[in-house]
Amino acid sequence: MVLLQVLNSDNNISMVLFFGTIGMLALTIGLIVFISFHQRRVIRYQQQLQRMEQDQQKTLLNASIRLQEEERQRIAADLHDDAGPLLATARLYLNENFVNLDKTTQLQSIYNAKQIIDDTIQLIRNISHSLMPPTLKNFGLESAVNDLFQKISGSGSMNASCRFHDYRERLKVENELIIFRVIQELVNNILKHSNASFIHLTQNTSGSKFFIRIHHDGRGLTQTDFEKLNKSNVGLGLKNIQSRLKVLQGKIFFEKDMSQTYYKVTIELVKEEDTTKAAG
Amino acid sequence: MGSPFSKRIVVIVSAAVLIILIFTFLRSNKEGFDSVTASVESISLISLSLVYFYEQISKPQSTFIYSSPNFWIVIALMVYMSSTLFLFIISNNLSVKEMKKYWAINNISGIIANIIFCIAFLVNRFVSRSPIFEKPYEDVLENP
Repeated sequence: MVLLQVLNSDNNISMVLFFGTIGMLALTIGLIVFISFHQRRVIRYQQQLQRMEQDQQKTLLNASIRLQEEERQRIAADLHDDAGPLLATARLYLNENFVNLDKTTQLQSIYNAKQIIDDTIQLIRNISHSLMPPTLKNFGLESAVNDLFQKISGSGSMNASCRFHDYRERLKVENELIIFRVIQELVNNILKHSNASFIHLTQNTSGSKFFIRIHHDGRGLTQTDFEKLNKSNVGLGLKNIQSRLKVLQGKIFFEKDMSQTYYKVTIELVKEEDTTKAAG
Repeated sequence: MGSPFSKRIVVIVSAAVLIILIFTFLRSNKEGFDSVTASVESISLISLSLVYFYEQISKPQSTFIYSSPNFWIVIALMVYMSSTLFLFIISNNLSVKEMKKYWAINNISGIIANIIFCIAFLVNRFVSRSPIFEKPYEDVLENP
């Protein structure tokens, strides 16, 4: 009715007033609606990102928990299957009837029991070394990696070599352990899956960055494969690498060499002194 | 208000508007409705509301904008000011009879603005009652 009244009236001012007011109001309401929807969309998007991040964290956490359980099972199996029977056998040699036997048999029994106990000691030492390599703790990453690679080379099926170019001072012991575990896992993967004939590890620093590169000539992973495996349910070891590196705020890249014949894995870390300096 | 840039804009605009308003008020004949003052006020409030919206869009937030009472207050101001802007601008050219006829616009937008103000208060009450803002119960009983 107001519209009719305005349109019928010849008054130009009324027209301006009417359409001006309606126009302004429409603009305002449009703006408000746009802003609310825009903001809502942005927040939804943020929430989605957050959820994805949380999911990723959860998978990593699950992987590390599962890995820990597997490790425990392995230790339990080692102790139960190897150390248990050995000690039981030693006990058999040293039973109560022992005193009634003649001298030679007694000596033989003692000798056998001693042999078995020696074996057990060696076995337990091996288990403890595989849990925490003493060279790493006492002599640092370089020696531990050297040790590991010598053992691999010693088996004869693969040529493993490593070279540390810039490792004058040791990193923090716990960080070295993490790096060593990552290297161990990577080397393990190479041994298990890649069918490679050589592994070569080099260490370098550049500014505040600490690099470790591993080359091998077998079947390897590229970054896309790594990310795919990381999101899927398989690839427990890779997830473990990822979560370990997260602790050090390090990065890992899987790629093919320039010549397309070798696979290359690069681990990039920030040196500890610099992070503390930056934080300070 | 977040960034120093918008803070500066708000201060400059407010100061300029205040000066213009005082100046026009002193020069006007002080009879009837003062069109210029009201229009300048409308335009300045609309621009300040736009600055507020710009700020809201440009900085990332975790809560929805319509759960904040400030948003509703700004909407109320903006709706009122934009719907009465043209009325104020051309009120000098209207006769008393026309003025009476069209003054309904002002009244209606006033009512709408007040309703939106009510929403702002309700939102405020609702927000402050959400569990995050609630005080936890004391562990110790004062009068055992």
